[in-house]
Order: sequence, then structure tokens, then C-alpha cells
Amino acid sequence: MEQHYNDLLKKLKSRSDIDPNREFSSELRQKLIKRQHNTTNSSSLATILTIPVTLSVFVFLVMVTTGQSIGLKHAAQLISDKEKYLETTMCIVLMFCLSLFISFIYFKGFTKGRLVYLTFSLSFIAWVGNLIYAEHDHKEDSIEQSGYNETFDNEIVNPLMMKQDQQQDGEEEGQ
Amino acid sequence: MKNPYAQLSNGLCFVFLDLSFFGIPDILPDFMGYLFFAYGIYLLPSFHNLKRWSKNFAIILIVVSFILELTQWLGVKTFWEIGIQFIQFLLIVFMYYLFQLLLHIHQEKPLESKTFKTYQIFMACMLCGFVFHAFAINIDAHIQKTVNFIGSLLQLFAFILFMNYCRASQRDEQKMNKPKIHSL
Repeated sequence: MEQHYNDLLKKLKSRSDIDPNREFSSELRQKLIKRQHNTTNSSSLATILTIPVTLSVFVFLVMVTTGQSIGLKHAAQLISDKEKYLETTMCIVLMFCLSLFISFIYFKGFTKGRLVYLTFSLSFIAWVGNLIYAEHDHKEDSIEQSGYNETFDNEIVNPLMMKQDQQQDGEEEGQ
Repeated sequence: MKNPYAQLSNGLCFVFLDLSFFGIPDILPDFMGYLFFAYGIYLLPSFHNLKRWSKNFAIILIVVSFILELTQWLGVKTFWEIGIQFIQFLLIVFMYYLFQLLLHIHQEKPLESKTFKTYQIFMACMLCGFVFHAFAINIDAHIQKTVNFIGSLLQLFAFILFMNYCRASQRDEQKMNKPKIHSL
């Protein structure tokens, strides 16, 4: 019996005293730290924002210098009056959302950091985007107007011609 | 010694007021305004890096606005209109750095809270005004005027606020520099 206890004590002494939970938690912590470290290094908010801003600036500069257009207008082309109204509403909603976001950031009291830089980059993106869209819209309108002049202007729709016709009709009826 | 806040307020006056809107030739060119800004920053009592950066920024803006004025005199319209909005954005970024410097100078001083409040309202109004002007390009003609007017009103409010702040800072500096007369 005594020998049995001695053996047991020896076994206990030789046992590697490892707490599995503790080991697991430390491993998990290390993993989490590694992952967090990786994410902050690879894709921070600054890098995510810098790429589209730089691209938009380059596109804009190319457009201004070469006078060429990009075929983005067809994707966002709106035809009917209802859609035109929707477009204006969207513009106003976006404008107010951005303004509210900017007001929120500054009235909250941020002086530095990502959110402050975000307000600058978002307003710059909004300006560049609007300029590009206006450029396309203007080109589209000028094409439509030239088509209208060629087909209808001299025949039916010209209001001056219609007025003259009506006056002639009235004179004939009077005679 | 010349007061830096007077130079800063003169600078914003030159940048903001455009007399060509009233049919008068613009005798307050923007680049002169940025020159005043650079001189005002030079006079500010600080050795922080922000002072150097904002002064260099002002010098860059002097060059850019001078080129823009030149394009206006030569009559290059497309570059002028885009350039005006672009320099407006650069002015907002510049004012952000200037406020950072002012916040650093007024840290734990009587005008700290006033500087901070002016920073908050000025930046919000200027950026919102810029966003309003940016979106006004694509809005219907009858709403466009209203949106442009609101944007201009916001920026005018920010301008008045900064002037008020400069006046308060000027008075504070004069009070600090006043020699104290001891009673006998």
C-alpha cells in the first residue's frame, strides 16, 4: 500500500502541470493579437480611402486635359421625368446626409483622426463625382438637343411657326 | 510688434471678398490674402512643427492662387471655374491646419474654449458650404439657386465667426502686452 502511494506521488511529481484552459486562452490571445496586427497593417481606413480619391483625381485630370469622356453615363442614364425627379431627390438626400455627417463629426469635438480626414475625403469625392457627372450630363444634353433640331424644329414643334399657322387660319376664317 | 491675428483676419478678408461680383475690378486678390496668412503665421508665438507646415501651405496657396488669377486675366474660363472650387477646398484644409496650430497655442489659456468652439463651427460650416456648392452643379435650375445661396450663407457665417475670433484674440494679446502700472 505504501509503495503504491509512493508511486503515485512520483507520478504526480513527474506530471507536467499544464492547465489546458490557460494554454488555450494564451494561444487564442496570441492569434487574436496577430490577426489584429495584420488587419491594421494591411487595410487601414486611410489606405481604403486614399486609393479611390487618388483614382478619381487622376480620372478627373485626364478628362480635363484630354477632353475625353468615360462611358459611365449609360449606366446611370435616366430617361423619364419621374426618374429625373428621383435623381434630384437622390442628390439632395446625399447632400444632406454628407452635411449631417460633417456636422456630427465636428460638433462631437473631433480634432484629429480618421473621422476628420474622412470628412475631407468624402467632400472632395463628392465634388469630383459631381463634376464628372455634370460633364457627362452636359454632353448628353447637347447630343439630344442637336437631334431634336434636325428632326422636329423646322416642321411641327417650333412655337413661332405654330403661332403663325394659327394666325393664318384665323384670318382665313374671318374672310 | 505687429499683431498676428490682425494679419490672419486681413488674409481671410482678401480671400473671401471678391469685388468682381459687384462689377468692380477685384482689388483684393486672393494671393495677397495668402501672403497675409503666411505673415500672420510667421508672427504667431510657437515653435511647433505645425507652424512650419501651415506657413509652407500658405506659400503653396500663394503660388496656386497667383496662377489662377493669371488664368482669369488671360481669360481661360474652364480652368478658372474648376480652379476656384479646388482652391476653396485647399483653403478649408489650410484652415484646418491653422486651427490645429491655434489650438496648440491657446492650450490651457483663457481663449482655449473660444478657439475650440470657433474651430468646430467654422470647419463644419465651411465643409457643408463646399458640399452644397458641389451638389448644386447637378440639381435642377430652380433649386440650384437656393442650394448655392445656402452654401454661400454658411461660408459667410464661418467668415464672420473667424473675424470675431480674431478680434477677441487681438484684444487678448493687447491686454497681455500692456505694461502693468504699479500703484504707489
